[in-house]
Amino acid sequence: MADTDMELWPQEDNIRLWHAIIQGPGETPFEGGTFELRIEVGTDYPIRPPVIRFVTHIFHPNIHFETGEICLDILKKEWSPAWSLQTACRAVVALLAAPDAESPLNCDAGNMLRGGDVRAYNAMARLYTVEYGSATRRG
Amino acid sequence: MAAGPTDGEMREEVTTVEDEEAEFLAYLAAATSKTSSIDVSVFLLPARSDFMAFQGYISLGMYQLPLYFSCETPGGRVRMSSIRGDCRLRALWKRGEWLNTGRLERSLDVGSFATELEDMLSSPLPPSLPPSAFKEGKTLRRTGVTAPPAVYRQLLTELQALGWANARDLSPRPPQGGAEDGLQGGAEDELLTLTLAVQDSAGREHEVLVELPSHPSPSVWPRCQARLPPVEEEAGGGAGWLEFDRRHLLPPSTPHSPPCSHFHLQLVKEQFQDRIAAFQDFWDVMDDLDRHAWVMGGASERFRRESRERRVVLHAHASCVINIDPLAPYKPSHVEFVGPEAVIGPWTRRLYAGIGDWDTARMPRQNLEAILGFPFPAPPTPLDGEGNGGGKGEGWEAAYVEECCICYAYRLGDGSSKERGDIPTVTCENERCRRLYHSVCLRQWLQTLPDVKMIRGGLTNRTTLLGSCPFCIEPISLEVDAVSFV
Repeated sequence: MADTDMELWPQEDNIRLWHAIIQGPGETPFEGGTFELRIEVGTDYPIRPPVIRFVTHIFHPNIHFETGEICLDILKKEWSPAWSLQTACRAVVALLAAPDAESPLNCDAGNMLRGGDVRAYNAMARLYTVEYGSATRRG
Repeated sequence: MAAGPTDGEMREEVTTVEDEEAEFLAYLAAATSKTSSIDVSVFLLPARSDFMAFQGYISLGMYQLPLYFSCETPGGRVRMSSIRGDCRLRALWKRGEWLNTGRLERSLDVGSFATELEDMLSSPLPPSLPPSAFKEGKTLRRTGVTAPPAVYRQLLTELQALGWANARDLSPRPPQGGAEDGLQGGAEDELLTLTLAVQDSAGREHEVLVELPSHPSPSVWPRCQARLPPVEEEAGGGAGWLEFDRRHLLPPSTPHSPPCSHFHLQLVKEQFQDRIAAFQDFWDVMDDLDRHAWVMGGASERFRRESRERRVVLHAHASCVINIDPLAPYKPSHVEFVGPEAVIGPWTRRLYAGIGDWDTARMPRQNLEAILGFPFPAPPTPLDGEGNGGGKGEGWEAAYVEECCICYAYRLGDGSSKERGDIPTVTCENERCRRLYHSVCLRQWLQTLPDVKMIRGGLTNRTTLLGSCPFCIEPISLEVDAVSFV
């Protein structure tokens, strides 16, 4: 899978700690932004899912603004060894395009979407993308 | 010449390390008082092919002191903490006024180290050296003993006789024990391991690992290991090294041979060749499979001399494990099909029906091809050189995944395990999935599912786990021995 829109690499001194740079999907407020993910691969991987967090701040209902925690079913109870780190990152990218306001980790974002105020949500998400969304690979 | 304190025969004459040391120093004092100096020379040979370690001896008058050390770089500065020797060398080392270790430490390479050492030892022994001064030996520990030079000479002679081409690898066992002051720590069992290449009657090469004793004697036999197939029925595929029975190595004519000892390398070779003569047919059969069938798991799974099993691809998603009896390789082999029931069911019936036509004059592969009614698919990659440009076809061959789809490995562990579970043998029954799993991996996965069902077998102690395939989510079942609920 040639990925021009994603970079995924292990930390030099620790094969169980991976980093990824993902790109915000088009036609979303995240378009043009780059976001860093930190991926902890436990000893029981791939039986248990990796722990993926956003390092870059992002405004999204299913991503905690401070801790970067992600609420995504395939990283929790719907995990299967069929997923790889790369496809899991793709699922995170897909989550950016398809927010689920019903299980918010970011209540502000969730409330905007549930209240039907898509404009406000888009504006806020865009604001934070411009502010923070320029992560680059640090080695 | 004293062979060193570990030699059993020497123990009566030389009782303690202290005595040996005192004797040695007394000799030195006497020798150097008569003449201005004694004959000194240092002999060193690389102990490793990368020149990171050397061994040899210091010839000091009538004494020969074994010496072993490693270097910081190939042939470079000597690691002072790595120097090993016997108690005499240690005694020498403690005489700072004679042997200036600081000067040795500053030598930039092994050559100048040896020259420095010779230089210092050739100078007269300082007069302030009453032999009794070294009776403080109570605190001395017995030190590591490298073999006396005669041992190496004997080894060289024997290797010469065998032919150097047959010596694959010769490496010292790393000395054990304390490294902090260099001359401490008991490395009494310091040995050399030698890998001999021995050819069988069909020209196949086998490796025999020989552990050489540091003090060979007629009563000490080298320990030998080689890869031989397991003969017992219950032993599975990957048996490891098989040890020789030492009694087999006893030559008939040694009881009265002189104490000048040898390593019996020629004998090791002959005994090994005798031993493997019985397996020639077996390896012919295995070679035939390795050459003409698609053996799963890549190059490392082929030509495994110690294994009596081969996993062979028969068709898309279906393979079989062929188990050959090493002592009767041409007899009907034990075959176990792996794959979806719809595919392997008919094969199993054909095998039962056709087993009577088995022709022991033909290769088991040819027999199986005749019984199953199709030729075995050829290996997708050429036997020499893996990968690049290997002619995997466009059909199912190209898409064949040999590895477990959970851990992406073929063989688990180091391959020495006898358990069948270390190769992927469980197939998803969904014909659009058909992925392979190690039963261990699949079991771990199924046990994490909250809705897994367990069905206990009646009389057998086996349990069937029912869950879903991690890829296609269709139901998958796995039979296991017992289930832990932890």
